[in-house]
Amino acid sequence: MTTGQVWVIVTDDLIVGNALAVARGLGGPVTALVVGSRQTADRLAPVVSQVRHLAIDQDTPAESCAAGLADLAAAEAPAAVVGNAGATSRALLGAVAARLGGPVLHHVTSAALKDGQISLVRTVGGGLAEVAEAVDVGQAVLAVRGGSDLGEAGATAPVAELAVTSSSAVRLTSAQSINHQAVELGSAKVVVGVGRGMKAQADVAMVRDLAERLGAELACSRPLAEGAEWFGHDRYIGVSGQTIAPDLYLAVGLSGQVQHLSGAHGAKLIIAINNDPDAPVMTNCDLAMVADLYQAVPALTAALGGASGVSESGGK
Amino acid sequence: MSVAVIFKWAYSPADAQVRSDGTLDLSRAKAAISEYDPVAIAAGRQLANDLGTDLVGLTAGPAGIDSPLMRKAALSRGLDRLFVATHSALEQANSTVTANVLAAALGREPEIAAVIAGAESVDDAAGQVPLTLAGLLDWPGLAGVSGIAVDGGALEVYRTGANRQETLRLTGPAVLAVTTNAVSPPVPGMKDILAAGKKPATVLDEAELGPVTCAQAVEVGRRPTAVPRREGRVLDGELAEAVRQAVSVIQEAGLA
Repeated sequence: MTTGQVWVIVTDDLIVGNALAVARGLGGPVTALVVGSRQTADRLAPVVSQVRHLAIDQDTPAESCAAGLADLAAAEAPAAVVGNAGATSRALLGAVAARLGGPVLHHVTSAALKDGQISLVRTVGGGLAEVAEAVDVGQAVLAVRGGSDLGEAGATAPVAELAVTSSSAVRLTSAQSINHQAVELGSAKVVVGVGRGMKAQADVAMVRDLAERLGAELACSRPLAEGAEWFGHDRYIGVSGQTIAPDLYLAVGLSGQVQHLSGAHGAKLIIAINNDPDAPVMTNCDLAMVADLYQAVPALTAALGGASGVSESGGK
Repeated sequence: MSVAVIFKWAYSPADAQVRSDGTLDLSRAKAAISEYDPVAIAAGRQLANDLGTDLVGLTAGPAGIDSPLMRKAALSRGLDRLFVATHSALEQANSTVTANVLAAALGREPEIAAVIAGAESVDDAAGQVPLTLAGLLDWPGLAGVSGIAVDGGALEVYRTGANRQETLRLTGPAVLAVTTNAVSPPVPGMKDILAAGKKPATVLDEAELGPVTCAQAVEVGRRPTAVPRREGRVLDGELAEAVRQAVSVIQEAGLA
């Protein structure tokens, strides 16, 4: 048992499945500190021992609670504070860590209480190495990526409303909902990923046809999720993006740098299509097709039993 | 008043190898301005222009971080001047140590409108330092910023979260971490590189910055991340044959 509470900071993105798993690994009850909506607080109630809800004023962002949350952490000295690596979480974890005078540790995959300290494992160097570290109880501020599965539901914990000082230095002057269907790449059986080998956004349609033929989810390397904005942020695979473990990962026109491939090591089979035989992905895959993707992709779609040429596909 | 931009001089893991003991071999890697930091510098330049102020660059590292190559790389991207903060605490850096050193260095600037930062560093891929820095300064810290505009005495900041697009208004200084595509950074031309040599660069050392105390995580072991061995069988002949073989593999795996 830990000597203090184990906090999981939860924001409205709710991608805290892995953070919750790490927190549970420490043994003892887990408290969700929800900096977001009451709905989010209610979603956590069945999977933790206690929920404390920090309601945010309508016209301020969740980050406005950062200093108030840091005050709370300093006063209550939780054994560990865990959150995901989303923008808001990093701001909240950063304020807590600044106040406690210790680091926020990123890319954490597991943690346990051992010999009176918190032992954890995290990856470093773009995913190249795994490091085991020990940190004092009370100094563990951990960022854990991913996971929309919050775990098995049990008894519904009470939700306590908590007021913390909120800064008025930043005001939210407008917030427009985006109709975004979140995608869970982590459970996809087949994934087709694209990279900068794609010349234009319109060309993604060709790859989408192939993905549909395979019943696959579409994904990408980082530059296409932000640099080109062809895909949402939840579709990029990599050390700071999604981790996948499909039966097949088809990597189309992507070079396969370590920061990307570290998110795909769990794939049973990796087939790469690239016209550069020296691209890193070509030695980190099972089958390397050295080909122009603009020819190979339609050819594969046709060979897999689809009509060649333009098809009326529904798109994902 | 000035706009500050923090950047990192770092190695890319793409150029690193991992040794069997889990340590990183950087012998074939060349340090450079971290991949997404030029976007931050360009965004800072734009904001400084809009405000009619200077753009001050700041980077931190152990002694040895300062070099003519690094200064030129940074100053050729639109900075008016550069601070290089060196501190022995950065031999064993963690994000809070780095944030502490940056905060101490920023104290040298009398009035900062905003600190701009990149999305994340190429080597740590965490995006944490700017937000811990905000915590230390007790300023708002906002990540995922895609645009910054000046509106009278305030800043308007745009960003897209998981579920919504936000417009935020800041009436005081803040730390703003921009997305990897917030602006398209211009490639420095000859004129910029030559001008870089004439711009002031100041080293702030430990004596000026003061001591940094910070808890540390202690490493107790490491190993290379287990990566499945993959055959990398090459299909580089005629396309139709390569496609046939690929389809055969996919079908054998029961996936088509």
